[in-house]
Amino acid sequence: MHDQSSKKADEAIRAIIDRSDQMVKHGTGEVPVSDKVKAAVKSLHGERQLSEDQLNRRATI
Amino acid sequence: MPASSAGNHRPLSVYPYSIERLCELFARCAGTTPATIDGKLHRYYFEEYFEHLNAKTIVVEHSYTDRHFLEDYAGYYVRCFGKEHSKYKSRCWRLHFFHLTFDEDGFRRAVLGLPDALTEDQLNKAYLGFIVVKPLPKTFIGRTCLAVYRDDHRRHYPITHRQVAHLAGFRLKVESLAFQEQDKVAAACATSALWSLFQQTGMLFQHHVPSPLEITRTATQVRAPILGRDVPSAGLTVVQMAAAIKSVGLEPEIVNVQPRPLNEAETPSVPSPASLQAITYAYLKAGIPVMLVAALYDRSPPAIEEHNAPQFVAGHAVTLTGYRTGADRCIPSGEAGTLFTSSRIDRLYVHDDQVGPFARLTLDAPPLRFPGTDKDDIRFALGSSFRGKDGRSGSVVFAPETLILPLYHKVRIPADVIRQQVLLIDDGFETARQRNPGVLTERLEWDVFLTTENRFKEDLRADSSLLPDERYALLEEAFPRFIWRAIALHAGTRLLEILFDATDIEQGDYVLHHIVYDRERVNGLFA
Repeated sequence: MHDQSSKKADEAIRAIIDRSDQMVKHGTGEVPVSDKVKAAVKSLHGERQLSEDQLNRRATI
Repeated sequence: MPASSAGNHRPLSVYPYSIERLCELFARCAGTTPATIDGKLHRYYFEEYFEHLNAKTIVVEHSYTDRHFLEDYAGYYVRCFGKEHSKYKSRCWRLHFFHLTFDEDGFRRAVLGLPDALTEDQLNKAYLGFIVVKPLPKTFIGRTCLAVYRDDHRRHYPITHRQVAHLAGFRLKVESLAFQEQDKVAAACATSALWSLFQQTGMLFQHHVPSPLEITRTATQVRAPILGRDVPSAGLTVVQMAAAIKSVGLEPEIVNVQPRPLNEAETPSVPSPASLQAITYAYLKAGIPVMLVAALYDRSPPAIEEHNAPQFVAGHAVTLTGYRTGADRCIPSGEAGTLFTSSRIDRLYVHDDQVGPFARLTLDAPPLRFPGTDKDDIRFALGSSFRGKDGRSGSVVFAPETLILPLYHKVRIPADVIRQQVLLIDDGFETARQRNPGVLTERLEWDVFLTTENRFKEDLRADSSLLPDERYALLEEAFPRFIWRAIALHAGTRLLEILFDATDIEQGDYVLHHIVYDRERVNGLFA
């Protein structure tokens, strides 16, 4: 059974998760988070952007 | 001397292992010259590999029917006219390797189960796997399943499964993933890499495993910008590789892992080298193999002298089959400083048809610079065993460009979404840690990977750090088939974990649970 401090900790974790969820789904623009973290999150968007050259790279060797 | 040495083959022969003997067997089966074998990287790779595995004995099957070669043979080689003495044959040789010394008489006694002979169990314990040798003059390395290096807790080979070889009534077993070199007819490197990849996904997701010729024919139904023959194969594009993956009923997810150019300012939309480590780690740990497409550059002094810069050699594709977490510390992820376990990877293991199975790629090659040209410098490259113009191993490096993930259709939430979420969650925990500096002495490390419900529950069942009631509640709960796990470690031990439903949609409520392993510390953090 969770005591009071466990309940408080679980609520805090849930709040951190909810905040991250909101930021991933709706962007980090309005949420108080450092520029460094915003840049790190944005950098991952590039993983799904591929150039034509990449898609047409022929593996020949 | 075995009868086979005199040219009159008995069906089975036994030889003491040496690299010279192995090359002689290759030459005899393939009908090729020692010079041809000496010119192949495989020869040097096998020499080092079998030395490490401590191979002692080779048992040769002189007439072995290999299904995949037979399909290539029926689809192509059988229609070559050929001179009578050099017509292509349909049967292969299969070489079995053991780290146990025995001779032909000892093997015969074992087969017959005579008193004091070697037992099937002893042979299995000493079994190192097999190489099928195809009767082709240059590209003769066929289906190869070899044991991996013994685990030293840093090398991980999650893309292996049990292979069974039947030999004279014995069932010999080895944990491996099948490899073969391209024959330059039915297959180029991409086809060979896909063929290895399908060996694993076929077992994981129960699909038909196509032969090299089938893979090439399916992939080339998608036209590449440069038109040419399908067979003999001149290689496949990334789009064609994706088409081959679709043809077996899987979804190809394509990820950009091209490093940011050195001379480019920090731009948020270009991925960092950490992507290669993170994606490799996350999916390989789930048992899902990954294709790596790279550009090869020769950085040997003769090449640089000639071009004043590293020389582009060719595009290449390999299957990622393992990794080594050799770094003692995580490398902080950008300026945010988040620590991912994947950043400990310092080596990748690949099935590289030009080198061998479980070949090394190191993450320590220096950047590629192209002075005086309009080409951007390349921030990092992977060290390989390829030889450049100087003939030295390692003078050609891989510039990684693209990863292709062969996913079951229900794996829908991609790794970048989970890593974004973890970056933000870590930020929340780091803020709490700095408010209560006495509770956690160091920053959290995040172990992020895909898994299945079954594997997750097996792991949870074995973890006694959770209270029995909490553990049982999780074990009896129904979970989706695929789950993302983000385990927060403090000083190497589990502090807490967040579970994500990998089968959900990106707009959905995919956070499933958080699990607290170290209740005392976590409560202290938020007191």
